[in-house]
Amino acid sequence: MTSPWSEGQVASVATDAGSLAAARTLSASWSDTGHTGTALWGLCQGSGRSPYRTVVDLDGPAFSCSCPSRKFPCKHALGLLLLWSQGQVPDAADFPPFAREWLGRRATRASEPGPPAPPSTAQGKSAERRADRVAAGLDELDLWLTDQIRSGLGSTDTSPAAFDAVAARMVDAQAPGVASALRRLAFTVALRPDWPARLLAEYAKLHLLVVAHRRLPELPEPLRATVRAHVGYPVSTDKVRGEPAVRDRWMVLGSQTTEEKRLFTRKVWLLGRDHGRWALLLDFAHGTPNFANAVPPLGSLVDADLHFYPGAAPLRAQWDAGHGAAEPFTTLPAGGIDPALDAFAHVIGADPWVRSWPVLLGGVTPTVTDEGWLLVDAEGRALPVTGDERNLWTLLGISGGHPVTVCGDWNSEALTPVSVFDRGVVHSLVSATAPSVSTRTAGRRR
Amino acid sequence: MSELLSTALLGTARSTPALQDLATGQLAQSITGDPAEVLLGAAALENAHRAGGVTASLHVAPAPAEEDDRVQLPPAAADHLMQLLAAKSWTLTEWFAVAVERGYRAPDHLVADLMSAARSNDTHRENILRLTGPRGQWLAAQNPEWSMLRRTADRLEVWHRGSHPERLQWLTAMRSVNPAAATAEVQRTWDTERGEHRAAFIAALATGLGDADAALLEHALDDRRKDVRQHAVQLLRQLPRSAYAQRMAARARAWVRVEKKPLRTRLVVNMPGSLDDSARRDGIENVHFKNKGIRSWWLRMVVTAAPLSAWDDMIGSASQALDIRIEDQWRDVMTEAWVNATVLQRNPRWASAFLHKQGRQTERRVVPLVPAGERLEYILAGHADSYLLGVDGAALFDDLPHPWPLELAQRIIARFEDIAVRHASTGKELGQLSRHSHYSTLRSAETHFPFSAVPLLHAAAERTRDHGWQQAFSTAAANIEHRRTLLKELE
Repeated sequence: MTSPWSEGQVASVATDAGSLAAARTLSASWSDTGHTGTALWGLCQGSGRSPYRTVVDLDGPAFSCSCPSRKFPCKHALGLLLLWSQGQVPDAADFPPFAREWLGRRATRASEPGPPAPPSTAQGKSAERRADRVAAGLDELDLWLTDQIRSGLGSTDTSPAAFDAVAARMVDAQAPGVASALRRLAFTVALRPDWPARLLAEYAKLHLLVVAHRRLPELPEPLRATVRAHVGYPVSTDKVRGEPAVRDRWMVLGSQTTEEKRLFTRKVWLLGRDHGRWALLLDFAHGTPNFANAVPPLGSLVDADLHFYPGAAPLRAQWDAGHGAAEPFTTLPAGGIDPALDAFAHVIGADPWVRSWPVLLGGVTPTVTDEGWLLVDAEGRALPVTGDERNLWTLLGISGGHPVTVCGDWNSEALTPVSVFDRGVVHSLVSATAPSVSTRTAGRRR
Repeated sequence: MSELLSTALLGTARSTPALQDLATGQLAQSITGDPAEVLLGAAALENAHRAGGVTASLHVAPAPAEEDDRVQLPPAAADHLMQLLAAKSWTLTEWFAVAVERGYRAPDHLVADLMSAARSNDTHRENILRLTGPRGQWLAAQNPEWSMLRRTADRLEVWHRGSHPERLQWLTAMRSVNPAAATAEVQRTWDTERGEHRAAFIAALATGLGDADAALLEHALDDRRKDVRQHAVQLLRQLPRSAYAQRMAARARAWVRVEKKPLRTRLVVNMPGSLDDSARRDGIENVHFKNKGIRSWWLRMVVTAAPLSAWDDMIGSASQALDIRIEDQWRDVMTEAWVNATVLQRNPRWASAFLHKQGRQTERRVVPLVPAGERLEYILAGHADSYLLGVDGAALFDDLPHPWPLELAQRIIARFEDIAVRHASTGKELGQLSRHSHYSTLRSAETHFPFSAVPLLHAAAERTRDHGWQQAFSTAAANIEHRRTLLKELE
């Protein structure tokens, strides 16, 4: 039997303070609650005739509720957890039918092996077909790119429809990475005053990708993987698992879940304490943010094996196995501005298509000026900072004009803070469930 | 790079890029292909070179925030505070009272969110600012959107040189801290202010209004602008010791007299045929008043603005005044005006007289003016039983000492139980019997019942046969328990 969570643990899974407050008002509305192994369930009387059926799978954790709320977890799931944390959910021998059905479905999904690998000859054939299609698509893209430059950016069509049309061709050509890069260009043109320079830079990167793809067989293996990744070839889990494991004491420095069209994406920033290497875990879930893999919470450290996706500047990784329980860390070996910029230069050298790279800056003071936000070190050297205003004010409030340690993503123009480390505690600077960048900009355009 | 860009904008069909000036020029020259391909290749090279070669700029960090050596809020209490604010919880008043008394400061990571909350939360703004302390003030000084949250004494320059909204903000803030100083500043510049600004400044005096403001308000009665005069009249009516009030008392005495005959004391109204200029200056206007005639309106204006003590002199106590015979034509106008005067002058004796005479018919604005102790006695004596839980009863609870005495909780629970019994026997969830019509009383109960009322609520839940009421009692008990937890966290 799992021991009940503390109130703090319950609070940590809530999307916002409001739903937690709402959950508290439900304590008298429960009936038929129960707890077994790693599941909780109960009926919660709402304003309607039939009560809501709420189930929590503590592994994960994952939530299911028959209420119409779009919040996740909803107030009923939180209320049930609170009730449990107060020791008011009795142990039971077996689940009621409504819980069994959902928990059963989850269990099958977890134990199900992935789709069987097609026989290798067929796989080879389809891979060949795909490579031909991508190559043809990229050639077409290059014609379009050079046409744009030939007739001049000032006179070509830079409407969203124009970019969408080319992007759609790239989807057909099975180059989704290129397609999404093209779609982003519409926002660049609409939102940035320096869009011609940005557009030229992005066209140049795409052209470089086409050129690199044409010479794929000549490239060394890591770079070949990088090019394929940016074009959007899928990498099989097995292939990643086949990469040698990297063992370190990984510190969780950031975690963010974003949603776009019901696709939830969770991003976790890890830094290896012993070797100073960065890793990024990306998980996806459809419909609800129930991610298959559990990761330790922000501010904890765990001795674990990771497998990196192959590439010239590997960052994305898969969690393999932990060698012990997660524990909180209270100190952080942080570098300064110069080493961070040097590291980024090396990354750009290895992978010129990379958009951003994690950095950890110690002893920097967040500052707001008329020109924008900065991180200033003890020598008065400064890097620009960007991001959600609310989070930046939180960062400024935490520092109060004193140096702190900031973890963020650097993209050669500005640093987007992910978390801040102050007096032994990591504070997240990305909301638990934030709208992803592209949906936010799309909203602003309307 | 700008070379490459201008060629790209113009098009390679019309222009050729010069590569030799690029940082990566030498490498770029080895790129082959048509001019467009060369340009894109060169741009890719140059971009990578630039992205990797970014260096830090120079900047001086600002002075840090002042130290705050108060104890930080316990983490659980801090988390709950954000939830309470998000839910606009009624428990916040009690929570802040304890937190401020214990001298806590907010944890740094919540200061920015608390400042945002303070901006939109009129009720708890000052408490939030107390909690965020110097760190909050330091932050507010850097965010123009938070300028209204700055609480420094040396901001007189805002009044002298600020824009109108800034000056108004300063005035309102200053009125709540030091009303006399604020009035002095307004008085100093009064004659040079623009008309519409004068109206806004006079209206701002409503905060912290006191006898010291009478002179300026009197001056405003001669203003050219009608809205300035109207605001002044509205405020003067709340100052029963002012010269204005004395003039109104004189008019009242001239228009209304008490006729004392054996067995027949009555109030006789004798209105003038027209208004003189001084009456018009005092804001008495010709308004057609619900078909009761212009004179009814004059009478109403005068009685509303005359100090209630004038009636004490003419008739006797407040309850004697309410009992006096009045001609039918004037009775309603007089009563209505006395109610208004009681509210405007915040007169507790008249409020008591109204409550004891009119019971549940008492105007709701009047009831809270009855001293809390007296209201409590009134309820505990059973006078309010029939309307204690309804909308009429809510005003009785206004500003009672917190927490409420257990006897009051007992009385309210007993009334709830009566309703629950009726409810269970009829099985209807309609009108008076609906649980939802008692929502606000239940809310006040959760907020103000003493912790010792929890067992009473549980007992009530057990006795009750109606499911909805059972749940209502348990919820109230649970919420009081939660309140207890919240306050315990502050220890």
